[in-house]
Amino acid sequence: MNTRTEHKREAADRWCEPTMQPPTDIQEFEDHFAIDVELPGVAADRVDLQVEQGELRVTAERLHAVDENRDYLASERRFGTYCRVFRLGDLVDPEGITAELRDGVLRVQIKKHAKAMPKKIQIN
Amino acid sequence: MTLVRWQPRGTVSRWAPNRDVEGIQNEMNRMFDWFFGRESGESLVDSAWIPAVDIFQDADNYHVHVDLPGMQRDDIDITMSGDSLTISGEKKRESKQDDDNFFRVERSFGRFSRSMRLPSSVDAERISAKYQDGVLQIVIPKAETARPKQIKVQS
Repeated sequence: MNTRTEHKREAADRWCEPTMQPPTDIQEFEDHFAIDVELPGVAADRVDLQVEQGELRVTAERLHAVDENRDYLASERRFGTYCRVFRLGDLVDPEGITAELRDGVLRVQIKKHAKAMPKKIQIN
Repeated sequence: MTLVRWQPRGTVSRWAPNRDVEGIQNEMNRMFDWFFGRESGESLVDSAWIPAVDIFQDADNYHVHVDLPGMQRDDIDITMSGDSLTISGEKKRESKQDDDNFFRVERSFGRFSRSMRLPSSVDAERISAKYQDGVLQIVIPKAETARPKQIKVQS
């Protein structure tokens, strides 16, 4: 996985507004990377994950209930389309991506290629 | 009116796309604190982060929706005292963490607390709340006296 900040932000800014990029944590484990994206109020069928040209693109649509009887006293939450781009490097296998949405957090797991995994070397 | 310490915006260094918005929000909070003669940030002492809140009303109820992604139901506390609603809790990391394996840390964890005063009296006995898709939804029925009443014009 390529984690160079400029690169990722540049890629993201091409097509998605910085204010709609959800907070994300990325963690590396022995055999995979885990990306946790906060998507409160988004239904699973409104999340779209695509791998294209070495990028993983996450888009999620958060719909605003339109109801004229609602008289708003405070409105801080954001609605619209969340988006985020992650550059996949040579370390990962684009076929080995799984995703799960739970309690408003999307967890994407990306398997590393076998060649990228740590190897234990026996001492004879 | 007491002297309050000036708090510059944003001492955080990690990149957060909404920092400017949060900065403005903090600035506004400071202004309100000053206006109402509170110690700056008094209500935020317990907060490591501030969840976003929507409040709206219809004829019968107040509705409070709070973005709390990735929480456990048991870690959320809701208290109503008079016409003041407080939502607090602690957001914990789900996985046991190993600090050096993080590539990017943008999510907020830790304690939070938000209080809000509702504009009219409520029926505290009948408040209900549910947590779904990372959003806390609270329905607070208005007290009988606070509901709009239709008055017939006698002919």
